[in-house]
Amino acid sequence: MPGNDSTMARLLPCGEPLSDEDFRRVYDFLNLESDCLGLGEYETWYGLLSPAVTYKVLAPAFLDATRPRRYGRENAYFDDDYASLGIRVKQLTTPGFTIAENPATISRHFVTNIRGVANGEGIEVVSNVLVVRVRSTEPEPGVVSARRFDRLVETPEGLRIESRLAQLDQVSLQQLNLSFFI
Amino acid sequence: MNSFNQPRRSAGAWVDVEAGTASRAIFSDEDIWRLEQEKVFAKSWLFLAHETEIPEPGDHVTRQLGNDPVLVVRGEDGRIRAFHNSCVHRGTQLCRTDAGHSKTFTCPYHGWVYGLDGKLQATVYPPEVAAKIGESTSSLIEMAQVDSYAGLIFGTWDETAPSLDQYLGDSRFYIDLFANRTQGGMEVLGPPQRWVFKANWKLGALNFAADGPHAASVHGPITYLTLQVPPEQILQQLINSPAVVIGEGHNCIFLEYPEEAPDYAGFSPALVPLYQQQLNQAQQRMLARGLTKVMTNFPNTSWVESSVTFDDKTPPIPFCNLRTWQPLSAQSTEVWNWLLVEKEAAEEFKQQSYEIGIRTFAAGGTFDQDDAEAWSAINQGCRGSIGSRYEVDFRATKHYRDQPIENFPGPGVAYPSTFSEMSEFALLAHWQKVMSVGSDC
Repeated sequence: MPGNDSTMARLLPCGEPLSDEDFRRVYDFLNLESDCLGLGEYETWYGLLSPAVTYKVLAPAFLDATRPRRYGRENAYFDDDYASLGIRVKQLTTPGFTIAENPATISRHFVTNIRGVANGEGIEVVSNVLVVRVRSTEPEPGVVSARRFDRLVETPEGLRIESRLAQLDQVSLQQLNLSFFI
Repeated sequence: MNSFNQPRRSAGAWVDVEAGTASRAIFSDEDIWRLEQEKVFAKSWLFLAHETEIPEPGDHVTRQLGNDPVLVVRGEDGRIRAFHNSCVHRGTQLCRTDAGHSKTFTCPYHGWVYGLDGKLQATVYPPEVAAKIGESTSSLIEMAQVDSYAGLIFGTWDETAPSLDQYLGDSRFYIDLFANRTQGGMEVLGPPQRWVFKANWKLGALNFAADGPHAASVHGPITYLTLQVPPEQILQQLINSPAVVIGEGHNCIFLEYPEEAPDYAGFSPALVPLYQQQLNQAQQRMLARGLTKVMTNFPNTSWVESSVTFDDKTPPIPFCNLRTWQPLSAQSTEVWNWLLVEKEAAEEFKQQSYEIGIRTFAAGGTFDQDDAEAWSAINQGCRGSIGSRYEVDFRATKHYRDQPIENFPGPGVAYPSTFSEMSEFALLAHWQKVMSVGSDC
């Protein structure tokens, strides 16, 4: 395959290729998850998370190709764990607890470009996601796209998300808020 | 006609201080927005960056002031300058990165080269042509004045503007509570988040000036979920906490702890002795008793600090949020959002403060999400040909305006309730004063 080791690691984490059967399980899992998010089934979505989950959504930056300079920490829109995600889910699912989602956003999550490998940590999955979002106060559809790096782990109940890193594509987010998950 | 529910669109009458009302058109009208660019934003001191974003000579960041790109640079001499980020040749955006480090800036179009001091160093023309077009004297368009207070870099396009110290005036007492409370000062936790909402910039500035009542109705539920504080208690604290009209358009509110709470509840115990060394007695008292403080420096620099936890095992951790409301159009605003922390804080505390900050007041923040929704809804209600004829209501000010708190420990005039709307409305009154300078109205 073309590319050196660092390029390949950027494209896909190290690990063994998935069997067709495992790839199908990953594919079905991500589609189930995206439906939960699109339909506002947040408690079911929360059930798809490992209690050890880390959930990050990062902003990109435009940097000089020859002399990039970063400062401070990562520029995160989300940096959450199981407890804080639980509070977000309660906020979203308790009637009257957030005007940002009452009436609820109409949204759709399109997940594509799925690839995965298995290693000692679990199943590492790379995908692209496009979220189309319509608010009652902003009827023109808003769009958020990201590249996602997930680690899925096997549990007796099936696959669960142990970590998610979503790298957004917009330096300036063209959204009034992120009252939804990526 | 200035009576309630009557059209009122003429300059000088957009805000009726006596009646406690303002025209809805100020939140949606493009002509008013254009006038603001001249009267407010071209004349005021505007927040650009924090000094810790550009610590070394050659470090630079790019910013947007409204629709103008700005380049903020630390020069070889250590001095910080700010330039309109455009080549003087064809107006091409000069620096197209968010942050960087360099010795020069080269225009991507024709290769004109500028030094960190903004002076043109080279063009691609032969020497005799370069001499004729004034190569040696051309410089980037520089902001007329750039200065810092407490590590906060501000700039103004107006060479006749008062000094930054004069401009910030008494608000420095309150800025100190956010950003100048230890000897080392604050540092940014990372680059600014940016996001755009479809509503007027003043809605954000006013909300942080600050709007006490919304904190109960909009943020009551998430306050309950995170801190387990019952909504009735939040409501009572808001009603009984002060709103401060600092002067010159700067305004703030404080949500005070109940009397039974200890001093500095919610702050890192390791940092409290540093606060006590740095702040005067009155400032210490206000910091020690304030659960939440919210402020806007006129016109569009805002602050919020509070302490929150997202699990039942960790005590509340404070975050310090600084932001600007950039007016992209009459009905579109870009938020630039920083998180600050004390340089002296432990790394673990910095990380905790960072996490709490982005979970509360940020694009994905559980508090911010509801504010932006409310402002978009205001935009819907104010922008139409009928809606814009009517008024917004700050008539609570009529009840409170004659009830200043006597012997308030801080500068400015304080009123006994964040529900007074006094501090929020004072920003609008100052806005009208600035907008009316040089007009016949």
